[in-house]
Amino acid sequence: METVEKDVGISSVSRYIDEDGRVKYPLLADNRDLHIFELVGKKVLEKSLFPEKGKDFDVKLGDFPGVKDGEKLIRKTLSICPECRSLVRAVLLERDNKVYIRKLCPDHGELEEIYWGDAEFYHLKSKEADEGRGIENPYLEIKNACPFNCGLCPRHRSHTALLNLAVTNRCHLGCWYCFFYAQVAGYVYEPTLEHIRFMLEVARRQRPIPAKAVQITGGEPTMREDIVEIVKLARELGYEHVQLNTTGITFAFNPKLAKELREAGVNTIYMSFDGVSPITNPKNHWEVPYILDSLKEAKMGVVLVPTVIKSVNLNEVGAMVKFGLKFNDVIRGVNFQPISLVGRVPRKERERLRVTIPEVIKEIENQTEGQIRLEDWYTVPITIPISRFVEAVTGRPQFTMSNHFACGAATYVVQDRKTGRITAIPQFIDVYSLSDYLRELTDYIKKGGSRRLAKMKLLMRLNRFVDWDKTPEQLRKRKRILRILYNVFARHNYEALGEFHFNSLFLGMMHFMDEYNYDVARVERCDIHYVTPDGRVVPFCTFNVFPEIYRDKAQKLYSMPLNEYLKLKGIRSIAVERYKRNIRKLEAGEPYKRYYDGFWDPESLSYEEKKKISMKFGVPVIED
Amino acid sequence: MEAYGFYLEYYNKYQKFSYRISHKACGRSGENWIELEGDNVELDETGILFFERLFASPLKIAYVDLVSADETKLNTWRYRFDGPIVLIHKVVWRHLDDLTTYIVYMSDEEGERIIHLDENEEIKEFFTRLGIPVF
Repeated sequence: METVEKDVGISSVSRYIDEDGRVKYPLLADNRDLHIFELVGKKVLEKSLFPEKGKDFDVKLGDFPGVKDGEKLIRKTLSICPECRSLVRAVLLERDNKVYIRKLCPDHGELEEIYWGDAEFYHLKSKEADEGRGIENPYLEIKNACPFNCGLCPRHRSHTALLNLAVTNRCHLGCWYCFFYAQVAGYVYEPTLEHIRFMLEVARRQRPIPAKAVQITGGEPTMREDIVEIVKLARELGYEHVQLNTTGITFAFNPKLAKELREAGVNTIYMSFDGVSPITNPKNHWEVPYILDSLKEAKMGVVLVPTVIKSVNLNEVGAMVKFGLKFNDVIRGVNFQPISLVGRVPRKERERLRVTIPEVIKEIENQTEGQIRLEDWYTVPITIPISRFVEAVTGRPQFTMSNHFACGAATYVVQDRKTGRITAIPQFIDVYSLSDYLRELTDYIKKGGSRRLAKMKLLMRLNRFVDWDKTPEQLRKRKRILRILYNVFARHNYEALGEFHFNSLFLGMMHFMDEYNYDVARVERCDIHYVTPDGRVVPFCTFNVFPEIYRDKAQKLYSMPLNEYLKLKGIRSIAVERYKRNIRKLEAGEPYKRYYDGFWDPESLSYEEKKKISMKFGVPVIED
Repeated sequence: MEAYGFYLEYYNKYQKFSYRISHKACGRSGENWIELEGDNVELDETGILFFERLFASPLKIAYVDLVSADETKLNTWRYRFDGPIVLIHKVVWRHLDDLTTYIVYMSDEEGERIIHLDENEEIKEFFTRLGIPVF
């Protein structure tokens, strides 16, 4: 990865690092020279952050596990032993129409975990698999086995489609399962604005496609007083899409901030939303109506992000879709995330909690009366032919979403305004035929065909891929869907995609891995990355599955001890920053009734039961 | 000094291309380059990393791709030599009218480096300069 060359003395860098290799962050925080952040990052990487074999990880490539009677081998791969977290050999196999990953550690034996809950669907979707081009200027050379060499290294197959930027580890909640939160971690990680500039720039250096989309996350990013400046900075540096990953609670009480963020350049809010009831969503159930009203006022779209757990909220996935459709004027999408398990979880417990993409999709089908079917969902690489076509037409490399097909799925749904019927877009657009035609046109251009003629052919043929009898009324009028599609495929600009989103509800699935279902073939294709404070770009499922090597190790080096932070702020405890909930007041408000009418009856639980739910989750309750 | 050479037949089913890799290993003895004989070995961790350092960037292939591919044949040769060594891998791409590229690994007094060369005057000059017969 090329850097800005500058002559800076060694002493300039050394003064920012103490004898233990820890960054003297209050000192570095005053620095305005981006090159210093770069050099300090390189120094700490070399001294302590780059994973060391035997100390941070191990490689135990013994035999592949066997395949038993009644099972069928799908492919071999590499995985992680959950006991010793070493790289080991694994297989994907099929049994009873489910796909499992089975790994074999020479020291800890065999372990099996469900990988995809429907083998037939897996095989069908595997046909959508495709490859990206990776990046031309990787950040690191290859010294260790994958995934202990992030990032990104020359092996990586996808450029950064979405950069995650953690701007704080402070949070106004204290969710019982969170290890990241400052109070639990014992330090505060909060990079300065100049440091953030460096981290954002690092991802913009990628070639041929600089990172274009950033998700600002935390902790809770709205805890930062300069969050608006951070958004402006991202825009200044050329990020076309900025989204904020948040509990949303701040907006319930500070609608002005939502407007300021919108004006500063936030396109979408990505908000936790685990269900329509307080039982399934103790995190922000009571605040959601106020959050949505604030966002609507600010003309800011929101994508709801449920973490789906089999024994907790799988029974509400249909309700969440219907909730999204009912309030589609502010809710742009629902992006389901089947649970990723952290830490040692016994098999029986994993079976109780674990759910995979096909199972969530089938429950959505059941709970929407069959209106959104299994076959309406497509995996992310189905979009690659579109990128290739646009590349052929424009002659320039294009943004491409090339993660592994097993990582996620999506569809778009529209609710007919007259009949209320839900229609998934693939029910009236022949996606596979359109994809094949785009490939044909791409080949035509590559063999010397006219780009202009190719665009005209597309325009003339698009009509044939649409079943007008099934097209909902709002998209049938003046053949609106054709115009939207043509703009997406032929212009492929952000505005065209925006119009598409404004006329439908996006439904997504993204299953982040854990050490039980880890597949190295997937992580090498990941396009959702984190930027570390030392300037590396690391895939999501490496950053979070190996926090002791990547996330926590890097952020701790650049952090401030908690007691120093408390002294700086003049507060006695970080608990003063915690949000306290007034359940009665929130339920009494008009928005609460308006949003949950038909979804949740507040009378079905007593006040004491609701209070207990909130407190058990980690959100204290106050009363007037 | 230890280095690895590979014979590989690889097929990428997603983008439907394949290539064949063969190699030649030479060591410098005095003023001359002599062809080296290696040992046919199982691919170990050191060999895996060597393979990926050579091929991950230009060919977009990593060890996990070899493991998961249905149609792959790999043979690994280990070379041990005291002195400068050059390993020339010839990659013949099947779907592009047999386009050939070379990936060259060199280790000498100047250190280690990996160079990519096309099948044209570049590679001929390279071989001539070193005094190695073209293959």
